[in-house]
Amino acid sequence: MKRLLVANVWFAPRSYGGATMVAEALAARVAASGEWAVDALSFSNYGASPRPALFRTRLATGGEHWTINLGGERPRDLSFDNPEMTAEIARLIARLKPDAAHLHCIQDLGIGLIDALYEARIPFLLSTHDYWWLCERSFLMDYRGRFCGQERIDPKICAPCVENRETLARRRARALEALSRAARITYPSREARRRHEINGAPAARGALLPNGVSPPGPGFAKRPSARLRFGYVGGPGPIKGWPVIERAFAALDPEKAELVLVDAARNVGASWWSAYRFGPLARHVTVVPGYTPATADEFYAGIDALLFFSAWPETFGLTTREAALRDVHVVATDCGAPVEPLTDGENATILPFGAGARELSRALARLVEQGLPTPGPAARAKLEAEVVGPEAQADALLRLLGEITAPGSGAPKSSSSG
Amino acid sequence: MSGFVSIWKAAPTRADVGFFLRALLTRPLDIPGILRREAAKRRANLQAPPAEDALGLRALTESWEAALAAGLFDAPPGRGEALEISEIGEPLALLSALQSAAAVIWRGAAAQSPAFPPLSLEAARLGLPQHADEPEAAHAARRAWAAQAALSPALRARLLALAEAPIGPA
Repeated sequence: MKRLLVANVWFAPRSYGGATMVAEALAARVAASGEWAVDALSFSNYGASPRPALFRTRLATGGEHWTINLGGERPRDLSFDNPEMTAEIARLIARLKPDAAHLHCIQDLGIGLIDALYEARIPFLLSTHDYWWLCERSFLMDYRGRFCGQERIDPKICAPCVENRETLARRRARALEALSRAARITYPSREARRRHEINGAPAARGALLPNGVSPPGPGFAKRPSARLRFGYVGGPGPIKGWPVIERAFAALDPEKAELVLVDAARNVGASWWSAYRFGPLARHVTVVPGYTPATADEFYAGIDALLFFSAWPETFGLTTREAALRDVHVVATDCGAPVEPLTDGENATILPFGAGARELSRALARLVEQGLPTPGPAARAKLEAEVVGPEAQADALLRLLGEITAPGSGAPKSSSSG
Repeated sequence: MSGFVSIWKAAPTRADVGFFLRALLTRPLDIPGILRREAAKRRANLQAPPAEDALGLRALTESWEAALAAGLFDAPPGRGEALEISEIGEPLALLSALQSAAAVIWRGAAAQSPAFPPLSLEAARLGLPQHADEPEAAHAARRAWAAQAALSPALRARLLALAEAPIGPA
Protein backbone atom coordinates (compact mmCIF):
# COMPACT_ATOMS: atom_id res chain seq x y z
CA MET A 1 0.00 0.00 0.00
CA LYS A 2 1.28 3.47 -0.87
CA ARG A 3 1.60 6.16 1.78
CA LEU A 4 0.08 9.63 1.34
CA LEU A 5 0.84 12.68 3.47
CA VAL A 6 -2.03 15.18 3.51
CA ALA A 7 -1.09 18.68 4.68
CA ASN A 8 -3.51 21.40 5.70
CA VAL A 9 -3.10 24.20 8.21
CA TRP A 10 -5.95 22.79 10.34
CA PHE A 11 -7.04 19.19 10.76
CA ALA A 12 -9.19 17.38 13.32
CA PRO A 13 -9.24 17.89 16.28
CA ARG A 14 -8.66 21.48 15.13
CA SER A 15 -11.23 21.49 12.30
CA TYR A 16 -11.84 25.00 11.09
CA GLY A 17 -13.11 26.35 7.79
CA GLY A 18 -14.37 24.98 4.49
CA ALA A 19 -10.97 23.93 3.13
CA THR A 20 -10.36 21.84 6.25
CA MET A 21 -13.70 20.07 5.79
CA VAL A 22 -12.72 19.24 2.21
CA ALA A 23 -9.22 18.10 3.22
CA GLU A 24 -10.56 15.85 5.99
CA ALA A 25 -13.36 14.37 3.89
CA LEU A 26 -11.01 13.62 0.99
CA ALA A 27 -8.38 12.11 3.28
CA ALA A 28 -11.00 9.82 4.80
CA ARG A 29 -12.24 8.69 1.37
CA VAL A 30 -8.70 8.11 0.05
CA ALA A 31 -7.91 6.06 3.17
CA ALA A 32 -11.14 4.09 2.68
CA SER A 33 -10.12 3.24 -0.89
CA GLY A 34 -7.58 0.77 0.46
CA GLU A 35 -4.99 2.00 -2.05
CA TRP A 36 -3.33 4.49 0.29
CA ALA A 37 -2.35 4.70 3.94
CA VAL A 38 -3.03 8.33 4.85
CA ASP A 39 -1.14 10.44 7.38
CA ALA A 40 -1.85 14.11 8.06
CA LEU A 41 0.32 17.13 8.83
CA SER A 42 -1.17 20.25 10.36
CA PHE A 43 -0.38 23.29 12.48
CA SER A 44 -1.35 24.43 15.94
CA ASN A 45 -0.80 27.67 17.79
CA TYR A 46 -0.79 26.89 21.50
CA GLY A 47 1.32 28.63 24.11
CA ALA A 48 3.95 31.25 23.51
CA SER A 49 7.07 29.37 22.47
CA PRO A 50 8.39 30.54 19.11
CA ARG A 51 10.10 27.16 18.57
CA PRO A 52 8.32 24.53 16.48
CA ALA A 53 7.35 21.45 18.49
CA LEU A 54 5.97 18.22 17.10
CA PHE A 55 2.95 16.30 18.44
CA ARG A 56 1.51 13.07 17.23
CA THR A 57 -2.04 11.84 17.60
CA ARG A 58 -4.07 9.62 15.34
CA LEU A 59 -6.67 10.20 12.66
CA ALA A 60 -10.17 8.83 12.95
CA THR A 61 -9.29 6.74 9.88
CA GLY A 62 -6.37 5.15 11.70
CA GLY A 63 -3.42 7.02 10.19
CA GLU A 64 -1.02 9.24 12.06
CA HIS A 65 -1.65 12.93 12.55
CA TRP A 66 1.46 15.07 12.98
CA THR A 67 0.96 18.57 14.29
CA ILE A 68 3.68 21.19 14.44
CA ASN A 69 3.01 23.76 17.13
CA LEU A 70 4.35 27.28 16.98
CA GLY A 71 3.26 29.56 19.80
CA GLY A 72 2.78 33.30 19.92
CA GLU A 73 2.17 35.84 17.18
CA ARG A 74 4.28 36.14 14.05
CA PRO A 75 4.36 38.41 11.00
CA ARG A 76 2.63 37.19 7.83
CA ASP A 77 6.03 36.82 6.19
CA LEU A 78 6.98 34.08 8.69
CA SER A 79 3.59 32.46 8.26
CA PHE A 80 4.46 32.25 4.56
CA ASP A 81 8.05 31.03 4.89
CA ASN A 82 9.66 30.03 8.18
CA PRO A 83 13.08 28.29 8.00
CA GLU A 84 12.68 26.73 11.47
CA MET A 85 9.33 25.28 10.50
CA THR A 86 10.80 24.04 7.22
CA ALA A 87 13.62 22.25 9.07
CA GLU A 88 11.11 20.47 11.34
CA ILE A 89 9.01 19.47 8.32
CA ALA A 90 12.08 18.22 6.42
CA ARG A 91 13.00 15.97 9.38
CA LEU A 92 9.46 14.62 9.49
CA ILE A 93 9.35 13.91 5.76
CA ALA A 94 12.70 12.14 5.93
CA ARG A 95 11.23 9.92 8.64
CA LEU A 96 7.85 9.25 7.02
CA LYS A 97 9.07 8.81 3.44
CA PRO A 98 5.60 9.17 1.86
CA ASP A 99 5.07 8.10 -1.75
CA ALA A 100 3.17 11.32 -2.46
CA ALA A 101 1.73 14.34 -0.72
CA HIS A 102 -1.52 16.24 -1.10
CA LEU A 103 -1.25 19.85 -0.01
CA HIS A 104 -4.23 22.07 0.73
CA CYS A 105 -3.92 25.37 2.63
CA ILE A 106 -0.38 25.49 3.99
CA GLN A 107 -0.45 28.86 5.74
CA ASP A 108 1.77 28.74 8.85
CA LEU A 109 3.27 25.40 7.84
CA GLY A 110 4.88 27.58 5.21
CA ILE A 111 6.02 27.30 1.65
CA GLY A 112 9.18 25.54 2.84
CA LEU A 113 7.02 22.40 2.99
CA ILE A 114 7.26 22.37 -0.80
CA ASP A 115 11.05 22.76 -0.70
CA ALA A 116 11.23 19.81 1.68
CA LEU A 117 9.07 17.60 -0.57
CA TYR A 118 11.00 18.66 -3.65
CA GLU A 119 14.37 17.92 -2.07
CA ALA A 120 13.09 14.53 -0.92
CA ARG A 121 11.82 13.83 -4.50
CA ILE A 122 8.27 13.26 -3.35
CA PRO A 123 5.65 14.15 -5.96
CA PHE A 124 2.84 16.28 -4.65
CA LEU A 125 -0.58 17.45 -5.65
CA LEU A 126 -1.45 20.98 -4.66
CA SER A 127 -5.13 21.87 -4.17
CA THR A 128 -5.93 25.57 -4.03
CA HIS A 129 -8.88 26.77 -1.92
CA ASP A 130 -8.30 30.53 -1.86
CA TYR A 131 -5.85 33.03 -3.38
CA TRP A 132 -3.05 32.71 -0.79
CA TRP A 133 -0.59 31.86 -3.55
CA LEU A 134 -1.23 35.24 -5.15
CA CYS A 135 -2.31 37.43 -2.24
CA GLU A 136 -0.86 37.82 1.24
CA ARG A 137 -4.40 38.49 2.50
CA SER A 138 -5.67 35.28 0.78
CA PHE A 139 -8.98 36.68 -0.55
CA LEU A 140 -8.00 39.57 -2.86
CA MET A 141 -9.55 41.91 -0.31
CA ASP A 142 -7.89 45.24 0.40
CA TYR A 143 -7.11 46.68 3.81
CA ARG A 144 -10.67 48.09 3.99
CA GLY A 145 -12.15 44.64 3.46
CA ARG A 146 -13.22 45.23 -0.15
CA PHE A 147 -12.32 43.30 -3.31
CA CYS A 148 -9.14 44.88 -4.68
CA GLY A 149 -10.33 44.39 -8.26
CA GLN A 150 -7.08 42.98 -9.58
CA GLU A 151 -6.88 40.49 -12.44
CA ARG A 152 -3.12 40.51 -12.98
CA ILE A 153 -1.63 41.08 -9.56
CA ASP A 154 0.42 44.27 -9.41
CA PRO A 155 2.73 44.59 -6.39
CA LYS A 156 2.29 48.36 -6.49
CA ILE A 157 -1.43 47.93 -5.84
CA CYS A 158 -0.80 45.29 -3.15
CA ALA A 159 1.76 47.47 -1.36
CA PRO A 160 -0.64 49.48 0.87
CA CYS A 161 -2.48 46.32 1.97
CA VAL A 162 0.42 44.11 3.10
CA GLU A 163 2.34 44.12 6.36
CA ASN A 164 5.71 44.73 4.73
CA ARG A 165 5.91 45.80 1.11
CA GLU A 166 9.60 44.83 1.00
CA THR A 167 8.57 41.17 1.14
CA LEU A 168 6.22 41.31 -1.88
CA ALA A 169 8.72 40.55 -4.68
CA ARG A 170 10.28 37.64 -2.83
CA ARG A 171 6.89 36.25 -1.83
CA ARG A 172 5.72 36.25 -5.43
CA ALA A 173 8.93 34.60 -6.70
CA ARG A 174 8.77 31.92 -3.99
CA ALA A 175 5.08 31.24 -4.65
CA LEU A 176 5.58 30.83 -8.41
CA GLU A 177 8.61 28.61 -7.88
CA ALA A 178 6.55 26.42 -5.52
CA LEU A 179 3.65 26.17 -7.95
CA SER A 180 6.06 25.14 -10.70
CA ARG A 181 7.23 22.23 -8.54
CA ALA A 182 3.79 20.69 -8.07
CA ALA A 183 3.10 17.56 -10.10
CA ARG A 184 -0.48 18.82 -10.53
CA ILE A 185 -2.33 21.87 -9.26
CA THR A 186 -6.06 21.50 -8.70
CA TYR A 187 -8.66 24.25 -8.61
CA PRO A 188 -12.20 24.03 -7.26
CA SER A 189 -13.56 26.12 -10.16
CA ARG A 190 -12.72 27.55 -13.57
CA GLU A 191 -12.65 31.04 -12.05
CA ALA A 192 -10.00 30.03 -9.50
CA ARG A 193 -7.95 28.37 -12.22
CA ARG A 194 -8.18 31.37 -14.53
CA ARG A 195 -7.06 33.83 -11.87
CA HIS A 196 -4.11 31.66 -10.84
CA GLU A 197 -2.96 30.92 -14.37
CA ILE A 198 -3.05 34.51 -15.63
CA ASN A 199 -0.79 35.25 -12.69
CA GLY A 200 1.83 32.67 -13.52
CA ALA A 201 0.64 29.28 -12.26
CA PRO A 202 1.73 26.67 -14.84
CA ALA A 203 -1.29 25.97 -17.04
CA ALA A 204 -0.03 22.59 -18.23
CA ARG A 205 -0.24 21.16 -14.71
CA GLY A 206 -3.63 22.65 -13.82
CA ALA A 207 -6.71 20.50 -13.32
CA LEU A 208 -10.25 21.16 -12.15
CA LEU A 209 -11.21 19.32 -8.97
CA PRO A 210 -14.55 20.75 -7.86
CA ASN A 211 -15.48 20.09 -4.26
CA GLY A 212 -18.03 17.37 -3.73
CA VAL A 213 -21.58 18.54 -2.94
CA SER A 214 -23.99 16.16 -1.27
CA PRO A 215 -27.28 15.81 -3.15
CA PRO A 216 -30.60 15.98 -1.28
CA GLY A 217 -31.61 12.90 0.64
CA PRO A 218 -34.38 10.64 -0.69
CA GLY A 219 -37.09 12.14 1.52
CA PHE A 220 -36.28 15.77 0.77
CA ALA A 221 -39.38 17.97 0.35
CA LYS A 222 -39.90 21.70 0.87
CA ARG A 223 -42.08 22.79 3.76
CA PRO A 224 -44.93 25.04 2.58
CA SER A 225 -45.08 28.69 3.60
CA ALA A 226 -47.39 31.66 2.95
CA ARG A 227 -44.38 33.96 2.57
CA LEU A 228 -41.48 33.66 0.11
CA ARG A 229 -38.51 32.65 2.27
CA PHE A 230 -35.01 33.95 1.51
CA GLY A 231 -32.14 32.23 3.31
CA TYR A 232 -28.86 33.91 4.24
CA VAL A 233 -25.81 32.00 5.46
CA GLY A 234 -23.31 34.46 6.89
CA GLY A 235 -22.64 36.95 9.62
CA PRO A 236 -23.59 40.60 10.03
CA GLY A 237 -20.40 41.82 8.32
CA PRO A 238 -19.81 43.04 4.76
CA ILE A 239 -17.88 39.98 3.46
CA LYS A 240 -21.10 38.06 2.65
CA GLY A 241 -23.04 41.22 1.80
CA TRP A 242 -25.21 41.63 4.91
CA PRO A 243 -25.38 45.49 4.80
CA VAL A 244 -26.78 45.33 1.24
CA ILE A 245 -29.28 42.61 2.12
CA GLU A 246 -30.42 44.48 5.23
CA ARG A 247 -31.13 47.66 3.25
CA ALA A 248 -32.78 45.81 0.38
CA PHE A 249 -35.20 43.97 2.66
CA ALA A 250 -36.39 47.19 4.28
CA ALA A 251 -38.38 47.93 1.11
CA LEU A 252 -40.21 44.59 1.03
CA ASP A 253 -43.60 43.72 2.49
CA PRO A 254 -43.03 41.59 5.63
CA GLU A 255 -46.34 39.82 4.95
CA LYS A 256 -44.89 38.47 1.71
CA ALA A 257 -41.14 38.04 2.29
CA GLU A 258 -39.32 36.28 5.12
CA LEU A 259 -35.59 36.43 5.80
CA VAL A 260 -34.23 33.18 7.29
CA LEU A 261 -30.84 33.76 8.92
CA VAL A 262 -28.57 30.84 9.66
CA ASP A 263 -26.64 31.33 12.88
CA ALA A 264 -23.66 29.25 11.78
CA ALA A 265 -21.52 30.71 14.57
CA ARG A 266 -23.51 28.52 16.98
CA ASN A 267 -21.50 25.59 15.56
CA VAL A 268 -18.46 27.03 17.40
CA GLY A 269 -20.32 28.09 20.55
CA ALA A 270 -20.99 31.74 19.60
CA SER A 271 -23.87 33.62 17.98
CA TRP A 272 -24.00 36.13 15.15
CA TRP A 273 -27.58 37.17 15.64
CA SER A 274 -28.68 36.79 19.26
CA ALA A 275 -27.71 40.36 20.17
CA TYR A 276 -28.24 41.94 16.75
CA ARG A 277 -30.70 44.86 16.60
CA PHE A 278 -32.87 44.25 13.55
CA GLY A 279 -35.17 47.25 14.07
CA PRO A 280 -38.11 47.24 11.60
CA LEU A 281 -36.48 44.30 9.79
CA ALA A 282 -37.41 42.08 12.75
CA ARG A 283 -40.85 41.47 11.18
CA HIS A 284 -39.08 39.68 8.32
CA VAL A 285 -36.52 37.74 10.29
CA THR A 286 -36.39 34.16 11.50
CA VAL A 287 -33.09 32.90 12.95
CA VAL A 288 -32.32 29.18 12.62
CA PRO A 289 -29.34 27.24 14.01
CA GLY A 290 -26.28 26.48 11.92
CA TYR A 291 -26.51 23.29 9.93
CA THR A 292 -24.09 20.45 9.28
CA PRO A 293 -23.84 18.26 6.16
CA ALA A 294 -26.16 15.85 7.96
CA THR A 295 -28.83 18.50 8.60
CA ALA A 296 -28.50 20.55 5.39
CA ASP A 297 -31.76 19.17 3.95
CA GLU A 298 -33.71 20.44 6.93
CA PHE A 299 -32.44 23.98 6.35
CA TYR A 300 -33.02 23.99 2.59
CA ALA A 301 -36.51 22.52 3.03
CA GLY A 302 -37.39 25.72 4.91
CA ILE A 303 -36.33 28.29 2.27
CA ASP A 304 -37.38 29.11 -1.27
CA ALA A 305 -34.36 31.20 -2.32
CA LEU A 306 -30.79 31.64 -1.12
CA LEU A 307 -29.12 35.08 -0.94
CA PHE A 308 -25.41 34.99 -1.83
CA PHE A 309 -23.90 38.47 -1.95
CA SER A 310 -20.23 37.77 -1.38
CA ALA A 311 -17.84 40.72 -1.59
CA TRP A 312 -14.89 38.73 -2.98
CA PRO A 313 -14.43 36.50 -6.04
CA GLU A 314 -14.93 33.20 -4.21
CA THR A 315 -13.10 30.13 -5.45
CA PHE A 316 -16.06 27.76 -5.06
CA GLY A 317 -19.44 28.39 -3.39
CA LEU A 318 -20.76 25.32 -1.59
CA THR A 319 -24.07 26.83 -0.50
CA THR A 320 -25.13 27.99 -3.98
CA ARG A 321 -24.58 24.47 -5.29
CA GLU A 322 -26.33 22.82 -2.33
CA ALA A 323 -29.29 25.15 -2.86
CA ALA A 324 -29.56 24.67 -6.62
CA LEU A 325 -29.44 20.88 -6.25
CA ARG A 326 -32.50 21.19 -3.97
CA ASP A 327 -34.43 23.46 -6.35
CA VAL A 328 -33.81 26.47 -4.12
CA HIS A 329 -33.50 29.59 -6.30
CA VAL A 330 -30.19 31.47 -5.85
CA VAL A 331 -30.02 35.28 -5.78
CA ALA A 332 -26.35 36.17 -6.14
CA THR A 333 -23.89 38.65 -7.51
CA ASP A 334 -21.73 37.58 -10.42
CA CYS A 335 -18.91 36.72 -8.01
CA GLY A 336 -17.29 34.00 -10.07
CA ALA A 337 -17.28 30.39 -8.98
CA PRO A 338 -20.47 30.38 -6.87
CA VAL A 339 -22.60 31.08 -9.94
CA GLU A 340 -20.58 29.03 -12.47
CA PRO A 341 -23.06 26.12 -12.63
CA LEU A 342 -26.17 28.34 -12.44
CA THR A 343 -28.34 29.87 -15.18
CA ASP A 344 -29.61 33.42 -14.78
CA GLY A 345 -33.39 33.67 -15.00
CA GLU A 346 -33.89 29.97 -14.39
CA ASN A 347 -32.34 28.56 -11.22
CA ALA A 348 -30.69 31.86 -10.28
CA THR A 349 -31.05 35.61 -10.38
CA ILE A 350 -27.54 36.88 -11.03
CA LEU A 351 -26.86 40.57 -10.41
CA PRO A 352 -23.67 42.42 -11.39
CA PHE A 353 -20.69 42.01 -9.04
CA GLY A 354 -20.84 44.92 -6.61
CA ALA A 355 -24.62 45.46 -7.03
CA GLY A 356 -26.15 47.60 -4.31
CA ALA A 357 -29.25 47.53 -2.15
CA ARG A 358 -31.44 49.22 -4.75
CA GLU A 359 -30.70 46.60 -7.43
CA LEU A 360 -31.17 43.75 -4.98
CA SER A 361 -34.40 45.23 -3.66
CA ARG A 362 -35.82 45.49 -7.21
CA ALA A 363 -34.82 41.88 -7.95
CA LEU A 364 -36.34 40.59 -4.70
CA ALA A 365 -39.57 42.57 -5.21
CA ARG A 366 -39.90 41.06 -8.68
CA LEU A 367 -39.48 37.53 -7.30
CA VAL A 368 -42.00 38.22 -4.52
CA GLU A 369 -44.60 39.61 -6.93
CA GLN A 370 -44.10 37.26 -9.88
CA GLY A 371 -42.95 34.11 -8.09
CA LEU A 372 -39.79 32.08 -8.64
CA PRO A 373 -39.01 30.86 -12.15
CA THR A 374 -38.95 27.14 -12.84
CA PRO A 375 -35.60 25.96 -14.22
CA GLY A 376 -35.76 24.43 -17.68
CA PRO A 377 -34.05 21.22 -18.81
CA ALA A 378 -30.95 23.05 -20.08
CA ALA A 379 -30.35 24.72 -16.71
CA ARG A 380 -30.84 21.43 -14.92
CA ALA A 381 -28.47 19.64 -17.28
CA LYS A 382 -25.80 22.31 -16.80
CA LEU A 383 -26.10 22.01 -13.02
CA GLU A 384 -25.90 18.23 -13.08
CA ALA A 385 -22.91 18.33 -15.41
CA GLU A 386 -20.96 20.80 -13.29
CA VAL A 387 -21.73 19.74 -9.73
CA VAL A 388 -20.12 16.54 -8.54
CA GLY A 389 -20.75 14.51 -5.42
CA PRO A 390 -18.18 13.70 -2.73
CA GLU A 391 -17.53 10.22 -4.17
CA ALA A 392 -16.82 11.60 -7.63
CA GLN A 393 -14.39 14.14 -6.20
CA ALA A 394 -12.55 11.41 -4.29
CA ASP A 395 -12.43 9.23 -7.42
CA ALA A 396 -10.95 12.13 -9.41
CA LEU A 397 -8.38 12.70 -6.68
CA LEU A 398 -7.41 9.02 -6.63
CA ARG A 399 -6.88 9.14 -10.40
CA LEU A 400 -4.63 12.19 -10.04
CA LEU A 401 -2.65 10.54 -7.24
CA GLY A 402 -2.26 7.46 -9.39
CA GLU A 403 -0.99 9.58 -12.27
CA ILE A 404 1.63 11.47 -10.27
CA THR A 405 3.02 8.31 -8.68
CA ALA A 406 3.01 6.19 -11.83
CA PRO A 407 6.48 5.27 -13.10
CA GLY A 408 7.62 7.81 -15.68
CA SER A 409 4.86 10.22 -14.66
CA GLY A 410 7.10 13.19 -15.35
CA ALA A 411 6.35 14.72 -11.97
CA PRO A 412 8.94 17.39 -11.20
CA LYS A 413 12.00 16.02 -9.46
CA SER A 414 14.63 17.85 -7.47
CA SER A 415 17.54 19.10 -9.54
CA SER A 416 19.82 17.38 -7.02
CA SER A 417 18.16 14.05 -7.66
CA GLY A 418 20.52 13.15 -10.49
CA MET B 1 -6.13 51.46 51.37
CA SER B 2 -6.57 48.36 49.22
CA GLY B 3 -7.18 50.64 46.21
CA PHE B 4 -3.79 52.29 46.71
CA VAL B 5 -2.11 48.90 47.07
CA SER B 6 -3.79 47.73 43.88
CA ILE B 7 -2.61 50.81 41.96
CA TRP B 8 0.87 50.42 43.41
CA LYS B 9 1.00 46.78 42.21
CA ALA B 10 -0.25 47.53 38.70
CA ALA B 11 -0.11 51.17 37.65
CA PRO B 12 -2.69 52.28 35.07
CA THR B 13 -1.43 52.50 31.51
CA ARG B 14 -1.43 55.68 29.44
CA ALA B 15 -4.43 54.29 27.53
CA ASP B 16 -6.31 53.75 30.82
CA VAL B 17 -5.66 57.35 31.86
CA GLY B 18 -6.69 58.66 28.44
CA PHE B 19 -9.93 56.65 28.55
CA PHE B 20 -10.69 57.96 32.04
CA LEU B 21 -10.05 61.61 31.09
CA ARG B 22 -12.20 61.32 27.97
CA ALA B 23 -15.01 59.78 30.01
CA LEU B 24 -14.63 62.55 32.59
CA LEU B 25 -15.08 65.20 29.89
CA THR B 26 -17.77 63.55 27.78
CA ARG B 27 -19.91 61.49 30.21
CA PRO B 28 -19.09 62.46 33.80
CA LEU B 29 -22.22 60.75 35.13
CA ASP B 30 -20.76 57.40 34.07
CA ILE B 31 -17.61 57.86 36.15
CA PRO B 32 -18.79 56.05 39.32
CA GLY B 33 -19.80 53.05 37.22
CA ILE B 34 -16.51 53.07 35.33
CA LEU B 35 -14.55 53.17 38.57
CA ARG B 36 -16.53 50.29 40.05
CA ARG B 37 -16.07 48.25 36.87
CA GLU B 38 -12.32 48.90 36.71
CA ALA B 39 -11.90 48.13 40.41
CA ALA B 40 -13.69 44.80 39.91
CA LYS B 41 -11.46 43.97 36.96
CA ARG B 42 -8.36 44.82 38.97
CA ARG B 43 -9.46 42.69 41.90
CA ALA B 44 -10.10 39.77 39.56
CA ASN B 45 -6.73 40.20 37.86
CA LEU B 46 -4.78 40.58 41.09
CA GLN B 47 -6.47 37.62 42.71
CA ALA B 48 -6.06 35.29 39.74
CA PRO B 49 -3.03 36.19 37.67
CA PRO B 50 -2.78 34.31 34.36
CA ALA B 51 -1.11 30.96 34.85
CA GLU B 52 2.61 31.13 34.17
CA ASP B 53 3.87 28.72 31.56
CA ALA B 54 7.16 28.24 33.38
CA LEU B 55 7.91 24.92 31.66
CA GLY B 56 6.93 26.14 28.20
CA LEU B 57 4.64 23.11 27.98
CA ARG B 58 1.23 24.76 27.82
CA ALA B 59 1.20 23.76 24.15
CA LEU B 60 1.38 20.13 25.24
CA THR B 61 -1.51 20.26 27.69
CA GLU B 62 -3.70 22.25 25.28
CA SER B 63 -2.97 19.79 22.50
CA TRP B 64 -3.92 16.93 24.85
CA GLU B 65 -7.20 18.67 25.70
CA ALA B 66 -8.12 19.11 22.02
CA ALA B 67 -7.15 15.58 21.07
CA LEU B 68 -9.02 14.04 23.99
CA ALA B 69 -12.16 16.06 23.27
CA ALA B 70 -12.10 14.78 19.66
CA GLY B 71 -11.45 11.19 20.67
CA LEU B 72 -8.06 11.18 18.93
CA PHE B 73 -5.87 11.10 22.02
CA ASP B 74 -3.74 7.99 21.65
CA ALA B 75 -0.89 7.49 19.22
CA PRO B 76 1.21 4.40 18.57
CA PRO B 77 4.91 4.35 19.50
CA GLY B 78 7.38 5.67 16.96
CA ARG B 79 9.64 3.53 14.83
CA GLY B 80 12.89 5.25 15.79
CA GLU B 81 15.50 4.32 18.38
CA ALA B 82 15.37 4.34 22.17
CA LEU B 83 15.87 7.84 23.53
CA GLU B 84 18.24 8.21 26.49
CA ILE B 85 17.68 11.47 28.39
CA SER B 86 20.08 12.64 31.08
CA GLU B 87 19.14 16.33 31.07
CA ILE B 88 15.99 18.24 30.10
CA GLY B 89 17.16 21.45 28.48
CA GLU B 90 14.37 22.60 26.20
CA PRO B 91 11.22 20.62 26.98
CA LEU B 92 9.55 21.36 23.63
CA ALA B 93 12.57 20.15 21.66
CA LEU B 94 12.53 16.97 23.69
CA LEU B 95 8.83 16.64 23.08
CA SER B 96 9.50 16.57 19.33
CA ALA B 97 12.11 13.85 19.81
CA LEU B 98 9.65 11.70 21.80
CA GLN B 99 7.23 11.53 18.88
CA SER B 100 9.38 9.14 16.88
CA ALA B 101 11.23 7.31 19.66
CA ALA B 102 10.65 3.62 20.31
CA ALA B 103 11.46 3.78 24.05
CA VAL B 104 12.78 6.27 26.59
CA ILE B 105 15.32 5.93 29.40
CA TRP B 106 15.43 8.68 32.05
CA ARG B 107 18.96 8.89 33.44
CA GLY B 108 20.19 10.54 36.64
CA ALA B 109 18.60 13.86 37.49
CA ALA B 110 16.41 14.03 34.37
CA ALA B 111 13.52 12.45 36.30
CA GLN B 112 13.80 15.17 38.94
CA SER B 113 13.29 18.00 36.48
CA PRO B 114 9.96 19.88 36.81
CA ALA B 115 9.36 19.11 33.11
CA PHE B 116 9.76 15.36 33.66
CA PRO B 117 6.16 14.51 34.67
CA PRO B 118 4.37 15.95 31.61
CA LEU B 119 7.07 14.64 29.26
CA SER B 120 6.90 11.19 30.82
CA LEU B 121 3.11 11.26 30.54
CA GLU B 122 3.46 12.16 26.87
CA ALA B 123 5.79 9.19 26.46
CA ALA B 124 3.15 7.04 28.18
CA ARG B 125 0.45 8.44 25.85
CA LEU B 126 2.64 7.40 22.92
CA GLY B 127 2.92 3.92 24.41
CA LEU B 128 6.69 4.07 24.87
CA PRO B 129 8.37 1.61 27.23
CA GLN B 130 10.07 3.75 29.92
CA HIS B 131 12.92 3.17 32.33
CA ALA B 132 14.34 5.38 35.09
CA ASP B 133 17.06 5.14 37.71
CA GLU B 134 14.43 5.56 40.44
CA PRO B 135 11.14 4.22 39.09
CA GLU B 136 9.11 4.74 42.26
CA ALA B 137 10.09 8.39 42.57
CA ALA B 138 9.32 8.89 38.88
CA HIS B 139 5.85 7.37 39.33
CA ALA B 140 5.18 9.58 42.34
CA ALA B 141 6.25 12.71 40.45
CA ARG B 142 3.88 11.88 37.57
CA ARG B 143 0.96 11.18 39.89
CA ALA B 144 1.51 14.41 41.81
CA TRP B 145 1.74 16.48 38.65
CA ALA B 146 -1.39 14.94 37.10
CA ALA B 147 -3.29 15.54 40.34
CA GLN B 148 -2.51 19.26 40.62
CA ALA B 149 -1.91 20.61 37.08
CA ALA B 150 -4.50 22.95 35.50
CA LEU B 151 -6.44 20.40 33.42
CA SER B 152 -10.01 19.54 32.55
CA PRO B 153 -11.50 16.77 34.73
CA ALA B 154 -11.58 14.40 31.73
CA LEU B 155 -7.92 14.95 30.91
CA ARG B 156 -6.91 14.70 34.55
CA ALA B 157 -8.61 11.32 34.84
CA ARG B 158 -6.88 10.11 31.68
CA LEU B 159 -3.46 11.35 32.83
CA LEU B 160 -3.87 9.86 36.30
CA ALA B 161 -4.46 6.53 34.58
CA LEU B 162 -1.43 7.08 32.34
CA ALA B 163 0.66 7.95 35.42
CA GLU B 164 0.33 4.30 36.44
CA ALA B 165 1.92 3.06 33.20
CA PRO B 166 4.98 0.97 34.05
CA ILE B 167 8.44 2.53 34.46
CA GLY B 168 11.12 -0.10 34.76
CA PRO B 169 14.53 0.25 36.38
CA ALA B 170 17.15 1.73 34.08
